[in-house]
Formats: sequence, C-alpha cells, structure tokens
Amino acid sequence: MAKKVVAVIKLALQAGKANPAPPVGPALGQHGVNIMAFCKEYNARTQEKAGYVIPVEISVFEDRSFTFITKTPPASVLISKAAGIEKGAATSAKGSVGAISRAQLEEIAKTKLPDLNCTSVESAMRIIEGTARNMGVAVND
Amino acid sequence: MAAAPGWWRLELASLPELEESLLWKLAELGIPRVAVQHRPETPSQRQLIAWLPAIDWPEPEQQQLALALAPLAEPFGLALPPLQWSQQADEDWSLSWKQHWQADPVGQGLLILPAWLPCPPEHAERRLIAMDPGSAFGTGSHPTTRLCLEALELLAARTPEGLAGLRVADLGCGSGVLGLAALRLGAASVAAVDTDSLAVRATTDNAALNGLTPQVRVQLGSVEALAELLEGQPADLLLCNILAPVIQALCPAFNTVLAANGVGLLSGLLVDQAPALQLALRDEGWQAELTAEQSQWGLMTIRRVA
Repeated sequence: MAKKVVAVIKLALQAGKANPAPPVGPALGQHGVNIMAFCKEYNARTQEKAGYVIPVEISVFEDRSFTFITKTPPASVLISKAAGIEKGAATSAKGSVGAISRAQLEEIAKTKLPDLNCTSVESAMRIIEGTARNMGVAVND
Repeated sequence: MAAAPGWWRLELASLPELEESLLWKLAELGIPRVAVQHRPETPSQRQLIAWLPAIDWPEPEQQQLALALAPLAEPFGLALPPLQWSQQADEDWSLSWKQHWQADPVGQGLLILPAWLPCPPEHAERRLIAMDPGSAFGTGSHPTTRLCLEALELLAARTPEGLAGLRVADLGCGSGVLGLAALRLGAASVAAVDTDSLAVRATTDNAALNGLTPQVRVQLGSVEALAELLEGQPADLLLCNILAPVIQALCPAFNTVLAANGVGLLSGLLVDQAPALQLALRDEGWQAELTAEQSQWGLMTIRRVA
C-alpha cells in the first residue's frame, strides 16, 4: 500500500523478550504504534535466538502502521567474538583486553556496513576500529 | 533537581562514528534501554535516547555517566555531543498508544473501528469494519486508503446490485481494509497478497475479527501469487493501493488478475504521477482515468480498452 515513512527507530532488544517497558513503549507509543502487535511479532521472529541482542529497525508510516526488519548484531558483539573475549574493558584501558586482526576488522566492517550510516568500507572500518579501541581491543596490522 | 519517580530520558545527537561505541558503553553501564531514531529525510541526523530508572540515577550519577561517555569520542577526534536530561513519567505503555485511535467514519456509510472500541451510537447505521490497527498499512487514516474506500462505495452505488457476487483481488493488501470493505459492500470473495509478512498476518487477523475468514484468502507475494490465488480466473474488481512506480512495474501482469470486463481501482499515486502512469497502463491495454483526488494523492479507475 502507499507507504510514507514518518519515523525510523532502531532498538537493541533481547531476542524474544520485547515488552512495553522502555525503550519499546515510549519510543513507539509517541507515534501511536500498536505496541503489543510489535512485541508479539518481534518475539515470534527472534525467539530462536534467545540470549542475544537482535537490533530491530522499525519504520512508522503516516497512518501509524509500521513494519520492521531485524539488523546486524551490535559491532561490540562482533568485535568481542572476533577477539575471543566475553566483553570489552570496563574502563577503556586501550589494548588491554584483546586484539583483532585488520582482516577481521574489515570483515566486521563489511558485515555492519548497511547499518552504520556510512557509504564506504573504509569509513565503516574507521568506525569499527574506534569502537574496538573504546572497548580496549587492539587492532593488529 | 530531585529524582522523579519513573524514568530519566537521556538524549543526545548520535554521530555516525560514535553510535556503536555509545551503544556498547551504555549496555556495559547497565543502560540497555536505548533507541536511535531519525526522520526518513535526514538519515544522518540521528538522535539517541536512553531511559534510565529515576531511582537509580540521581544527579551525581548522571554527572558520572557524562564523564564515562566523554572519552568514547576521542578515537574519532570528536567531542561528545551535549547530554540532555528530562523526566518521563511511568505509564502503562501497553495501553496508552490506543489513545491515538478513534472510530473513523469514511465516505457515506463505512466506519473503521479499532477492535477495542464500542460502535458509537451516532454511527450505528454505518457498515462496520473492525480493525486491530497498526501492524500493516491501511488503518483508514491515510488519504489513499480513504480514496479507495470512497471509490468502492461509489462503485457499489452505481447499480442496484452493488458489488454483489463480485470476486475481488487486492494487490498489496496491507491491513486488508479495502478487501474487507468490498465484502461489507456485498462482494463475494477476496483474494489478497502482500510482500510484507506483517500485512499477510494483519489481513488474516482482521478478516477473522470481522467474521469474514471464509471469504478471504491471503498469501505472501506479489502479482504472480495473486494470479495463483485466483486459480486462472481473473477477478471482477482489482484493488491496488501501492505506489505509482510499483503499479507501473506490475501493470504488465494486470491482465492475469483483472478480467477483461472488470474494473480496477488504483491509488498510492500522487496526482502529478498520473499522466506517466496512464501512458504505461495504456500501453498494456488499460484505459485509466483519474477519478478522485485528496491531498495531492489520486485515485485511478481502469477498464480494458474497448
């Protein structure tokens, strides 16, 4: 049908566990979106990935209807996985918790490119490298 | 400022370089309730919003948070955008979205009614289409939906038998509202397709809500799926509220879903898109006339060229 998007909202939600509490309720409710319909659909689509954060991008249309697509995992999850660590450093002690190779960096950048609000792999690599540094993960050449 | 009951709403401009770092750090700090939003016309101007339980985040903690986030901008040679704090009261978000929805009279005799509302007495004479609104386009509030519904009414009023007995095809069914309206106006059956699985489910659910399940068949897909649903017998009435470029792309296959003596109601097109679409339809053997307009949107009625 004739769809004009009025807002695009990205939420990082636990798979299978969306509920009307923030962020879902206030982020979507301000647009009149059917909160319960969204939660039901999101949980149905992601229930098999319980335990993971599955980001979702919701497009709200002029008539307050919506659709959504699930997105790539957060960069931090991909970086942690590549570095073989549980999570980043609590206090941004740079290079202190692990390392990834430049090839791994490029792979993550390519995976995340559609969601990073940038157009080239090079820009995406800069974003991923900065994120890794913030997490205390070094990038080895 | 004293901590309010409910939530603190923290907002900041989400620079593209910083977004993933912010999402990581906030989650690390026990702040997983985050949204990033933007208007479709300005995808690079994103806004990050986080909700923090007010009781856990008194003012000194907020200052600590600002200090913890500031270094994230350093690897990019940027400065952290200013943090804006505001209070947000707790509420039952599972219900509060419903205040945006009301009974919606359309045309001379139709009423779109959110499923949880009783029919207002002043609209008791109207034909009722109950909807669980929101999970697919076609809630009734958009001009293109209204144009189609009003055109259906006019079509039904043209002959004493109205739409009685007609087989209807709905291409891009969304919420299913157009097909359900056609049934309410006397049509015999609806075959509906949409490429969005949310729409397929919404149409199925809304058909059930109106007790019209036996008359509605829905499938995921485009015009090919619709032709399949019609089992080789093109429909008497085609409803298609998509967008002009999509209609143009699909119109070479309209003869598989609309009978030679049938009528098509097309919307989703802007009035200034009509001439090009008319030419495209003409090339495929359809005579197209712009028969109604509302807020720059148009409705086109098509019939086979004699």
